[in-house]
Amino acid sequence: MTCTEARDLMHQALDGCEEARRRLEAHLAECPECRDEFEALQRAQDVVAEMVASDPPEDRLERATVAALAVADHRQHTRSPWAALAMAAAVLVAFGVGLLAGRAVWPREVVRMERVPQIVEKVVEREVPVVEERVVVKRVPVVRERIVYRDRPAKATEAEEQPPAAPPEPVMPEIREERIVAKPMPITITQTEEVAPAPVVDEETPEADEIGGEPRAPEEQRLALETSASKGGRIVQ
Amino acid sequence: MAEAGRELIARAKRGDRAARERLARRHRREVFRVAYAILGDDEEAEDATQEALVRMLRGLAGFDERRDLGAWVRRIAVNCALNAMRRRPDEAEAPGEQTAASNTADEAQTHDLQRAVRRALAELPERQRVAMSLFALEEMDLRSTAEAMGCAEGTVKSHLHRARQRVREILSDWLED
Repeated sequence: MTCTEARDLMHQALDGCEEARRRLEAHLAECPECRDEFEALQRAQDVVAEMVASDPPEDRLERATVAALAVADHRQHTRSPWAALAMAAAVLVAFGVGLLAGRAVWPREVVRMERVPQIVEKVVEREVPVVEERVVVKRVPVVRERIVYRDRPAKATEAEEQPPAAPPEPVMPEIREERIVAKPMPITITQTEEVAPAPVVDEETPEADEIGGEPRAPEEQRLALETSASKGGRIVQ
Repeated sequence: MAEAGRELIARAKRGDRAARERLARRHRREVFRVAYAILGDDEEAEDATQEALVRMLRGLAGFDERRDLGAWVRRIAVNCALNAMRRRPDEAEAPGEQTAASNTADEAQTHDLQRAVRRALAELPERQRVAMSLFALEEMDLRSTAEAMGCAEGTVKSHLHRARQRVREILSDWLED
């Protein structure tokens, strides 16, 4: 027997095979290396056996037994046919209640509704005082005014004074705005001869000047009146 | 004996509370030993024992009394212990790492060896560790280990050979003295 064959027999002998142990003993008597190896393997198995060997404590055994019997009996009662029937009835009742409540009993997707602020437009009619505007037309006296333009020496304006170095511009007669209220002038004309009627001159009437051309000087007006008077007219004021 | 055992199982299946309690008390010790072999902690083994007994009592209704009830219960115990072990936090200290105060040099050396064995087992893959732990129990052989693990005997042999060789290498300093 070779040492390799002896190694295989060592494990068989340690497994409990008596035939393998008898065959091995002859080789071990002749081979100290295989004998040492076999003793080492036997020792390894022995120390493991010493390690796992136990003398179960009686108190632990009793606790485990009593608890196991209690648990098994409880489960046995709950698994009896009547218990199963009662549980099935309870499930059906719960399912029915759930349906009535609008909810399924089994798990399902749950949609959570949350209250959120919402802006609602609302038209509210209320009576409020309203101020009515009316247009009232009243007749009021109106004073008619006429505008008469008369020649006057013009004054230098601030615009013409600036700049001083500029040549003076020709002075233009200032057109002044003057309010003149026309008054009726009683004129009595006594015509003795058939002469051409003398024109009624109103010094303050601007229409003649504006329409007739160049405005007349006061001296020229006076001469005209005298001329018309010499032709048979008379001016009575 | 086998006939009495089947009658007891039949009564328990019919809901006889006394029969159920007798079955629980009859198998609780081996359940605890299996759980402790895998977990290495009394408190965790107690919880696993309780859970395994509950499963046994619940499953009696569908159990064929012609089968080996002990093998079935050990299988339940292995599964409950594995579930408890997988619920452990990753960073949690492995049970059995805590060492009691040693009064003598021999005790200190024994505790050091125990810690070394724990670490060696912790380094093994789960199936190898379970196979070696269960097979190391006094009452377990290849067949019962295979039944408890729910695999073939050949598979258990393979796990045992690799696990034994690995532990022997890890503990070489301790085993060759």
